[in-house]
Amino acid sequence: MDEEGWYEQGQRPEPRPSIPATRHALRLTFQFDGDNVELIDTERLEKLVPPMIGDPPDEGKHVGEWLQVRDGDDRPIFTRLLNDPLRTRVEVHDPEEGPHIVVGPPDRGTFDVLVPDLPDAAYAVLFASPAPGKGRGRGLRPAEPLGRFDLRGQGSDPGTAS
Amino acid sequence: MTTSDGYVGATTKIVDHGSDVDRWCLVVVGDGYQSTELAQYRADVQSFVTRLRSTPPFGELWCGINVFRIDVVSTESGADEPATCGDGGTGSGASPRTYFDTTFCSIGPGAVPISRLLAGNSTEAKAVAKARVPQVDQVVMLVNSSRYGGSGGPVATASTNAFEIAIHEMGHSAFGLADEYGGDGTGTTAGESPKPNVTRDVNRATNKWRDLILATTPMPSACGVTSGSSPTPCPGCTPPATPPPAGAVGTYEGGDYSNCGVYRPLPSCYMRDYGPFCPVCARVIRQTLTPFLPPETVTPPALSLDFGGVPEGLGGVGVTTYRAIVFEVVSCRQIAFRITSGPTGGFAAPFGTTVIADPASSITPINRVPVWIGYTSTTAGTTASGSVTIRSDELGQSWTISLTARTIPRPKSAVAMVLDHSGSMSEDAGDGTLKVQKLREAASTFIAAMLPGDGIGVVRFDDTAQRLMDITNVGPLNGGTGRTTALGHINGSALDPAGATSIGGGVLEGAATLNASAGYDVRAMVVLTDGVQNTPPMLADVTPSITANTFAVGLGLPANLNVAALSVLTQGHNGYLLITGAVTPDQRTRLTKYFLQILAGITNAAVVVDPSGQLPSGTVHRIPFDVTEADYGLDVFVLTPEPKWLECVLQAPDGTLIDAGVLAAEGTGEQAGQAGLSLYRLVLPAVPSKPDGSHQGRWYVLLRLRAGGKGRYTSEYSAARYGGAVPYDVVVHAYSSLELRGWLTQPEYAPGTSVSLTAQIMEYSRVLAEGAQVWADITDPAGSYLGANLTADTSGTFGGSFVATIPGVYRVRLRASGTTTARMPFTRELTLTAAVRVGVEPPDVRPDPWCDLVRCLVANPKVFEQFGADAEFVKCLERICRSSHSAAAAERHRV
Repeated sequence: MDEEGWYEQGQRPEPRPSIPATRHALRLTFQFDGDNVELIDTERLEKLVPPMIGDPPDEGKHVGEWLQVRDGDDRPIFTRLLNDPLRTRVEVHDPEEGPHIVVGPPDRGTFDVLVPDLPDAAYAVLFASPAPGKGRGRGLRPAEPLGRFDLRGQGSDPGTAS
Repeated sequence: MTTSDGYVGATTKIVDHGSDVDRWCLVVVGDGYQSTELAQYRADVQSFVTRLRSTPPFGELWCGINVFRIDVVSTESGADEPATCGDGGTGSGASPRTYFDTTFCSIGPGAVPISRLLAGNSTEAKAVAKARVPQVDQVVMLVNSSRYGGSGGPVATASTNAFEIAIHEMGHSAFGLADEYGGDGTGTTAGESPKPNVTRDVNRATNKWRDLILATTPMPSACGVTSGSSPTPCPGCTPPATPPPAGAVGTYEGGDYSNCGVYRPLPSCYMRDYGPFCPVCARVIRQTLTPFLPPETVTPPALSLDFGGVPEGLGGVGVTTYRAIVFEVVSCRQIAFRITSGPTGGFAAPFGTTVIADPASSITPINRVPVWIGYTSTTAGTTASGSVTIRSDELGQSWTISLTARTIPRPKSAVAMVLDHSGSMSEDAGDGTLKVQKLREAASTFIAAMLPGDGIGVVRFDDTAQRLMDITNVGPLNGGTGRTTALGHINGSALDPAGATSIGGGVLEGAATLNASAGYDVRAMVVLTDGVQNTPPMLADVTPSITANTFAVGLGLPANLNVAALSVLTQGHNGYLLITGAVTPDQRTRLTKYFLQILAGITNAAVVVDPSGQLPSGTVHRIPFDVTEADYGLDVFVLTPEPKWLECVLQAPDGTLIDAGVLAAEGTGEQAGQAGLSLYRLVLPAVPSKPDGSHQGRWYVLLRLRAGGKGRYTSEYSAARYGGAVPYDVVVHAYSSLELRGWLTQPEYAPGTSVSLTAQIMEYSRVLAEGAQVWADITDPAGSYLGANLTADTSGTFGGSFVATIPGVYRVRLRASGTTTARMPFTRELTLTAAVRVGVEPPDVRPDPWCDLVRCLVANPKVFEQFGADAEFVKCLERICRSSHSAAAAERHRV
């Protein structure tokens, strides 16, 4: 693929997006069973974190799943889009039929999210569209907060859902 | 079928672009690979990494990525394949015990088994990855199965023929991309998706990728059709009157599992059909990984480039040398450096005016980018100065570099021949001629071929060493005074065999001979011996005092030579030891060829080819050899016992026949001859009016037996003496800027020793790293052929080895072929020898003071006559001394 060909349309890649200037990260590990989600581990590590891409989704408008880091005044300071963290679908790569998905009821398991370890971070809020009926997957209604977790603990202490 | 079914082995950072803290870390684990399959696993991982890197835009972001491979070993091989799957699919029924327990026909949401869904214990895989690489960003699991399958989620999983599945799933988990294929709407977001690459918004003023949409692109750009068996146009989408051109970013209906109402940026994308990532997805990947890129730096070159002294060539033809202006670039994008002005002042840009730093050519982001400048010497004393300006448009910078060079006289070489004429030189060499005769042939050819202006000196040694000739300019190729004088010594009685062997004495005298000479740039010593040193000074004592480049030739078998001591002497002084082994009739010129190769090493010539043949009467033999643009002179030797009857001409690439008359007329060379030798020496192009046809390309040596004569003096009669065909050897040397350098080392001389071979091809003083191959034709002491390929490392150094098991001489003919940077084919070769002996190196024989006294008395009879001693008695003692000495030497030879 000739990348330069794309650029000739007069568009260049955007400059490096602004990101929180930190090399400290939190790896938040969640455990879920359907819509019940717990933060079971908070690991602090030295690491550059991938930035937010694009405009952050709006509560009440967008559908899907994302994790928001908020400060003590409950203002969003970082958002990470998530890809079906509660596993309501699987993607099947069939060489004859091509890729397609199979959706199902809520599952159980764990997932983790890497966010910057920001000094003002106080809470993590997980957003997800409400689970619909069997066979339809999530995403029919705008996302709502599914859990709110206190990040003001130390080290790898689990956060607390509130 | 759990983590008890194997273990986690080593973790290897296979792509290392710096600290894991600052790079995006990809961790690859495997499943279904047994310990015996780890090599395959590593190859599979490498293939996946190569695939990822070659998938845009990952290549341009590569230096922001570190990749780790964790060698996870399973008890059994493969993945589970249930014989029947709930969705109707079938499998082999295999159920191997693997570490992550991957299986086809995995259970999807709603407990639905799906035959192509290949998944394993992703929680455990992620735990292993985090334990080994705490900074992990993405885990990929490769499953040792050739059946197509994979899955996404926390770990991107794929079988070994489905790498695209892993890359597609990374699009979701690492970059938050949506699927761009359609469907019946199951799973489709009802409102606007927060994902960056799908939308319901076809308004060019508000669309989320509007900055990539040209004003001329219609919105929507294409409409879809409903899913199902009777598709109809999607409602609510008005098709454009004119479809947008191919590749135009717009809004194409169908995506996020719905054929209608959801739009994607391009008809094709990796997130839809594994095609190249569309510009929107590629931009998201760039935005995600760009913060991980190390800073782009360019270290500029020095602003002056000095070629130093470049020697004159032969016959007024210049020697071309290249030097590089080097930019050190740390970048993941291509950066071009182009010459915008110059080079001026007689300098050239031999490889073009633009060089591109291509990050794809290196496993690290650091690229050393050479812009090559050439200079061709003219006449000694000439200086050149100029400049060149180089610009990088990407960096917006220019550099002007000053260039300087000067032509210096060709370095003159002084050679001291240090020749053994001990009593054993009267023995048969193995082909019916005496060793001393072999020595005379070889040394004579060497002297005959020396370059005018070089110096020759001759030292002989027996019990002691005597200088026969000080270093003297050999003079012209034909009739040079020094050359004639040296040949007189070589072929005169001074080399008649006599006495014992003091190699150290000869070496010391050779060094003294060289040290006494003046006006030479290179000093070299060529030592020939056929035996073990038995008279001091010993080699071990004199070697540290030697400064000249030193080559040695052992005439005979390793068991009869001081192999270790001679190796130390030569290898410590830019030379090497060659051992003839037993000289058989079909190898009658071996010693002469060794001497010619040594001469080439001294005069910076390169051996191009070295074939042998038998020439019947009435036949023309055509011996091809390749000349490159880097060659500026040739020596063509024909060694034959019948030089008088063997007629030789050269054929240039354009077909021009070249003999002594043509060379004389063109002023580009001459022919010389003596017993056993015919030599053409010429500069290139051989015919200045035909520079293209008489320089680079395929040349031939044409040989035939001369017609005419009467009686015994006919070619037929000569041929008949050799079984119907006259034997010959052709040796072609090139004076060249392309040379093969080779080294042979062995840690010991006992049978079973490993012999290491190393080689480099140098072109214009830089390593030729591409377009060449090097191999070794090895002949063992039993005459059997052993082949060995030498493999090149990234620096262009070739290496290989073999095991020497049979006592005797292993003759190693290092051979190289390929194409020069200017795409001209070439060959080069170099002969080296390895020695194997049973037992240890013979100990040095120290002097026997009693025998020394006896010899003294014999030499001064008046001394013992004063004491009334019987002269015959003393002579008898001297004979006893001599016989005991010989017996001791013979005993050592049996060691």
